Amino acid sequence: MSTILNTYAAYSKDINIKMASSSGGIFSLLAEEIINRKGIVYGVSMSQDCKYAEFIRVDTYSDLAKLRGSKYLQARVGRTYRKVKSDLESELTVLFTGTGCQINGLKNFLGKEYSNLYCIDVICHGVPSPKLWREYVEYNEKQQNKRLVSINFRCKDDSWIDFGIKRKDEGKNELYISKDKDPYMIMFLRDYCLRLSCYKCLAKNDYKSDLTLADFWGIDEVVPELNDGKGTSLVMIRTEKGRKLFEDIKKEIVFKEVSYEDGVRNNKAEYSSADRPEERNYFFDDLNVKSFEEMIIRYGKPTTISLKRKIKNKIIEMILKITERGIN
Amino acid sequence: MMNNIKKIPILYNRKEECCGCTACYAICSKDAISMVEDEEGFEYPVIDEEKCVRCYQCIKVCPFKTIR
Repeated sequence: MSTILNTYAAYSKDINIKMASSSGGIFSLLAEEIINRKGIVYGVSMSQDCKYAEFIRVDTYSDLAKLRGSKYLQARVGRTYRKVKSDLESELTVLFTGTGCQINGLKNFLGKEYSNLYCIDVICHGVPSPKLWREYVEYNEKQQNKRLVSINFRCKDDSWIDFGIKRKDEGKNELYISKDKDPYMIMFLRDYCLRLSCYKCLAKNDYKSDLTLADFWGIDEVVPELNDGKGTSLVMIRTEKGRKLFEDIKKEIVFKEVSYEDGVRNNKAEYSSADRPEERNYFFDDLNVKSFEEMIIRYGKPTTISLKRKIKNKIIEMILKITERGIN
Repeated sequence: MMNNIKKIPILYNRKEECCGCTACYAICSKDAISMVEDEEGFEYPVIDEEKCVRCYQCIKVCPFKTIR
């Protein structure tokens, strides 16, 4: 078990940064702080053709934009660990951002502590298959007869909590699909397509990062005053080094300290792995033989509530409201 | 001759025991490990037995092997 020094709800005062980020824009501020120190930031970017995610090395403010926003597929690490080591040996300040297991792997590879290395993990639900993503992109490109040029897994034009996936094609057409309707997001959120090791994640029992970032889900139950509907980050400080880095951005954020329990109340991915559904046993066998269209029908359809059920729910809701009023 | 006596390192027995972090791939001084996509599209390390000198550094850095 790793210790947590402090837990915060926080967001960037800069609305542009916040809107371009998945949650409250805290990563961007921390990463900018590293660039201010002439350091290097490692993180995950989508490839130019949008078909895969990969780690890249960033040393300019403008390139940080590529690292912003969640990427919901396992990223290619490639030669990143060796590059990080070489930067550390050159005495550059390095910020490495990734999943808990990628940080643990990096630290094992390095084999010693570096005072110039900062590690930030994102609370990870488990990583979906890069192949599934590729096939989804290719299916859509074929449907639209246009190449994909950008993808935002966490578009919050509509809402931060009820986010959607936004695709942009070469004809500059933008398509927004709610996470509850997009087949890829449905397959991901139902845990059909995660890496096998994710269902029993080791990293969740052994955090080696300096800071952990996530969405502050369930914020209205804890600090509603910090929810303006545009995104709030959950920040967990795990080391003294992490605390010092966070101190340096405090003037640029709105924040409030909360307890660890309140922070993860609605984000159980911090401490527990996704359950492995039965569908995981045959999902990939199907992916390898069926068309993507068939995969959507079989695994990617939104759950529909029948009209009867909807009416029933509405009646229950009304009764509850009436009884509540009666009691008060 | 030595190479034939010492066993090739086993990086994982079951796929559940590999998160694809690349620590083994990165530590290998002989570049004997490559990360290869499996039929599900996830990368797993594959050892080139010709290049491997059985130093077992890859085992030493594996998060699944080092956990107590």
